Amino acid sequence: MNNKLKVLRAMRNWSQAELAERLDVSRQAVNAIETGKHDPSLPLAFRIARLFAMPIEEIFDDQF
Amino acid sequence: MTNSEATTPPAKPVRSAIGQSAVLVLLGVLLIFCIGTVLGYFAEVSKHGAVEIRDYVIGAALLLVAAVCAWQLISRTVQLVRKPREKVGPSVLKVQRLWMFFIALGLILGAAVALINLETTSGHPQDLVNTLYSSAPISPVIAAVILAALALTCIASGFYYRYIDEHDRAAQETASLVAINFYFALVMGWFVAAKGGLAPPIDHGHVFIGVFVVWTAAWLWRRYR
Repeated sequence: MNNKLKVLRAMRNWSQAELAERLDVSRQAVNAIETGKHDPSLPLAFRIARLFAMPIEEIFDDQF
Repeated sequence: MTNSEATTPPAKPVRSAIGQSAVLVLLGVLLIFCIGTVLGYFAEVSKHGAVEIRDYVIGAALLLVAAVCAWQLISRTVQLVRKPREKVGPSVLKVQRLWMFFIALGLILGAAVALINLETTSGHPQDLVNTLYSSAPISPVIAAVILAALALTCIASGFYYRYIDEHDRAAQETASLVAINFYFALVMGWFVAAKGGLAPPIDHGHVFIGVFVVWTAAWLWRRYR
């Protein structure tokens, strides 16, 4: 699944570690989600959406 | 730009945790090798007559290497522990603390194996691997220490699986799937090969080590690829 996580993170000038701390996951998890190697669960996707104040479907999309 | 940092890359390259750990392990192995070689060398030399100056020189050189390794091991470990760490969430912090606990348990188990080696094979370094597979009886005190460490490992593992994030959990699941399939293939294949006279009887120690190595490799690949 494709996502805009890397772009959204860069817009806020956050490192992967800072985003990981905010989401309470490891930096490896953030990296894996950004590179499409791991699809987040619904609870984590909701946490990400809340953090960026955006709907889930604007961050994650399988039609990119 | 790498995947790891999209913004503000570090000013100087930082060696990864795996790289730092690999250096520490190599230093530890070299340290044990040097000490073991000195002990074995002098045990052999003393069997065949008086110890000569040449033997002392060789022993001193090996001890010097061992001392350098020990110093590097200690200083690098202190640096690693004191290094300011990146901020992490509460669950990740708990997982990191559990890793420290597992390392401490590993040291206890390692010391116990070394004691068994001394007890069963008079500390001869080349018998260390045989110690792990030997059926020779061991001291009940050492057995109790190992059992306690194993029990603590099981309890701590329960907390570990509770606190890890979903990415680590997915890596654990992948690794478990790979390892169980490897186990089935290895045991069935070895059993049939042994029945057909193509291989020696199944060695459960080797099976255990093999499955453990495969599980670890799969976990590392899935988690850090």
